[in-house]
Amino acid sequence: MDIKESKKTYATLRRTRSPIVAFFGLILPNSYYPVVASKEIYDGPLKQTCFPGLNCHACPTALSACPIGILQHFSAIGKFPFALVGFLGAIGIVFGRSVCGWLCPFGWIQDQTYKIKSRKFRIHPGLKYGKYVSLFVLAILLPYFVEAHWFSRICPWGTLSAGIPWVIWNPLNPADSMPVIEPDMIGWLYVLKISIMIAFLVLFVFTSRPFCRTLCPLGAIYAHFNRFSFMRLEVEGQCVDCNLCVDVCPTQIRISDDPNSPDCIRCLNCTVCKNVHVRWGAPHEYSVNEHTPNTAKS
Amino acid sequence: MQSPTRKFWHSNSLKTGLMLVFIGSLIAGVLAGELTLIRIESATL
Repeated sequence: MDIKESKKTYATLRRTRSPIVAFFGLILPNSYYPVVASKEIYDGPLKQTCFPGLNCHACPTALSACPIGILQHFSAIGKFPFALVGFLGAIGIVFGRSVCGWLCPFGWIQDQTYKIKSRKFRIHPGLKYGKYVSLFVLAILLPYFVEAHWFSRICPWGTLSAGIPWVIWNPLNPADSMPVIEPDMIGWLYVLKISIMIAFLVLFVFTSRPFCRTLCPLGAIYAHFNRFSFMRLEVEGQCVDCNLCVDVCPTQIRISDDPNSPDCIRCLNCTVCKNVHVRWGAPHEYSVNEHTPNTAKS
Repeated sequence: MQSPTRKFWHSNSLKTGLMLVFIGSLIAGVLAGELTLIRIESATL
């Protein structure tokens, strides 16, 4: 493929990313509409499978399981989740962190909210380590020691897609004719999760992808696959330090410094620069990018 | 010229090896009946 043609392909990918995520990440995995009549969440064979992105399986219309929900469940019962690790690892080794950019419904919500015109702020780089704390403490250690799914309890996407819809709808359970959500289920924890959700929704307007960068345990799992996944980004030719890549990057990475940064969500926005390309497999011995900043300016 | 360490991390052999490990783990989990555990958890409100 010549350069002109590949640039056209990248432009098409950038243009279609948002509808792709909306359909394959948000609408399709949450399309169990018979729930309106059955008033019970789906428990068919698809619930044995995991969605690769963050998607709460308690959402009334969810068709598959949430990987982090399953990770917490296995921690709580003290079993190693071989199937889950294999599934996420296989995706990670091929695509790196692309799921965050191309399939995650909560990432899509953040992208859309960030489009609201307002003053924008950068996140302190140190906060990116929060997602590892979230993974190890909230999603693994706490469920293991106290048998409670602490990440799910405060997950803003879970609150938005499951917590709020169930409380508002609150149908009578066909099995016992009792409301699905009983009044004593709405206590301080519900107030806490609503507060966290509102705080994040506000933050989404002012800063780009704050949840993915600071709190998402799934992002923490996928992040380091960028270093050795089959899919890679490469910066070819000399970087002229124009900062175009930083301006368009939702996670504010300078791609020329580190094309396979763990923070890169592979949205491909940086392919707007003619030097940035997607490559597959091991790099050619002499084609690995070594950033060579334009020293003429300094 | 790449250092041998860098070459190793970028090699197709490592990627393929890891891919096989993960697919093996997935198959092991499925054979161990983990899908039933996933279904029990994910189908409960």
